[in-house]
Amino acid sequence: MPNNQSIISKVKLAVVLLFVYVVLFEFVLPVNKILPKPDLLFESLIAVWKDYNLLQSAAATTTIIYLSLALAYFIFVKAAPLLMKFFAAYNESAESLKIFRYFPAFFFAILFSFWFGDSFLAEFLFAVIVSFLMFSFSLYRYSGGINESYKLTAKNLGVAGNSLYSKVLFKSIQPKIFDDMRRTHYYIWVLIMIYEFISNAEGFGGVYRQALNYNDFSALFSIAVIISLLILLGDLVYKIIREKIYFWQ
Amino acid sequence: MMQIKEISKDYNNRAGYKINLLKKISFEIGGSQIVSIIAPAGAGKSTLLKIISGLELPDGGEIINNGKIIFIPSEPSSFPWLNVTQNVLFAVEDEKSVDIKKIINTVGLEGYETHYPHNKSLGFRFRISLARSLAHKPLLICLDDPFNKMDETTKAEILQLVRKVNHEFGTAFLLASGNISEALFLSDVIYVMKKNPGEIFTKVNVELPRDRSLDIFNSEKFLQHRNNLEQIFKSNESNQLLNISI
Repeated sequence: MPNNQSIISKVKLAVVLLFVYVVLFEFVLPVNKILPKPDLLFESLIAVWKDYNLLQSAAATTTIIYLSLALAYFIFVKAAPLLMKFFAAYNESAESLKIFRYFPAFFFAILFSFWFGDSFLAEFLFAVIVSFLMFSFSLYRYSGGINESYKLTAKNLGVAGNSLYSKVLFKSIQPKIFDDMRRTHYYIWVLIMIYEFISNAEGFGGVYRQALNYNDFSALFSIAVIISLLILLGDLVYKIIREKIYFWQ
Repeated sequence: MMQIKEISKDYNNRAGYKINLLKKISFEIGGSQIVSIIAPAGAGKSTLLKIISGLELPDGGEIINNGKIIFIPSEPSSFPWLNVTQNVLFAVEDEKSVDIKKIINTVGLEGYETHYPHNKSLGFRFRISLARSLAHKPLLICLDDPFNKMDETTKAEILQLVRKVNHEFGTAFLLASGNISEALFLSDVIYVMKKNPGEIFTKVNVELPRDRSLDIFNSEKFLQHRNNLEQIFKSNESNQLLNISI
């Protein structure tokens, strides 16, 4: 967890940036295409909730993101011993799966959107699959670097088979995988918004599409601020879970 | 009594040639003896300990024993996601048969039962590994160069702890080390091994008092014996049986 000093310096930086923004775009450059006027932005921050039915959209997007991450992680934890066995036995095949890293993930978002259109379930399923794959890539990356002494100790104490993987080997890398999950969290946010944007589904992505259609410059920014705050909140929850549950490294 | 008979191990080097790592290693470990193998790095000490612990298969020879052998790696692996008690009882089949209080008190972990080892010292983690080994009621505990990364104070504490555990639980120890002083302080018997191939060429019977204090390190005789052993260690030629007493 960040200490008080770092929180204070972050708040100070935010205040300074806000001050510069207000001075620059309220008084020096009130008419521009770079950033909206501060007073319009603050008005928009309140208006978008009603104009774009933002509460419902926010609920749709956040439900899909966080529920899918939780479900994917739950399935992943159950499947991890089997995956690790697979990686150990078929290292070359697993290595060749890396080719998918070069495939832009938003292509799959387009594909899903093409197949299923504006479907809440399809969007949810897409998020679960992407999250699960991201966790599996992390597992593959870290399972090659497990501390040898854990393996030796567990085997020597008679722990073998699935128990060896679930009770020792997976446990030893779980904090690292959870750290990657924080990055996956940002990634899923972007992908889900792309999905919603393409399929014009209910959610932040759909709202963005409408705002773009209306040329609502202030709304584009105020929605971004709201999304940033939600991502920040999600990140704080991750940090707390990391600190309390996955405290070892 | 445990017998190690003519253990051999080969491996293929990068060029694909077969290398004889261990050549017909034979020795015995008595009921509650502390035996050390001192050898230069790369002689195959760790491999030998892994073979004795059942973690690797030998290419030749056999091990005759009738009990459990526990291996403690050079980096003691207390599991950081488990607290001290959970670590000690890890993989124990019958938890009720373990006198956990006695074990924890002996290794000096009383008051730390619910602590987690992830941010603790190497000495603390070694104590956990030792306690966990004792919970499995072993015939022999193999220590793979455990003092290598410890600071001098911790090393001194752990050396005494090993002797204390040996005395109170009657468990035999097999230490692999490159450090003559550690081996001399701890052991009842020392085997000196050379490399390429790994082969025992000298057996040293250490006849020091059962209760050994750290003061022994500074005694003239200890230093003299250490120097003698150092000569043997470097010579790679001697083929004799030595008796050392202070």
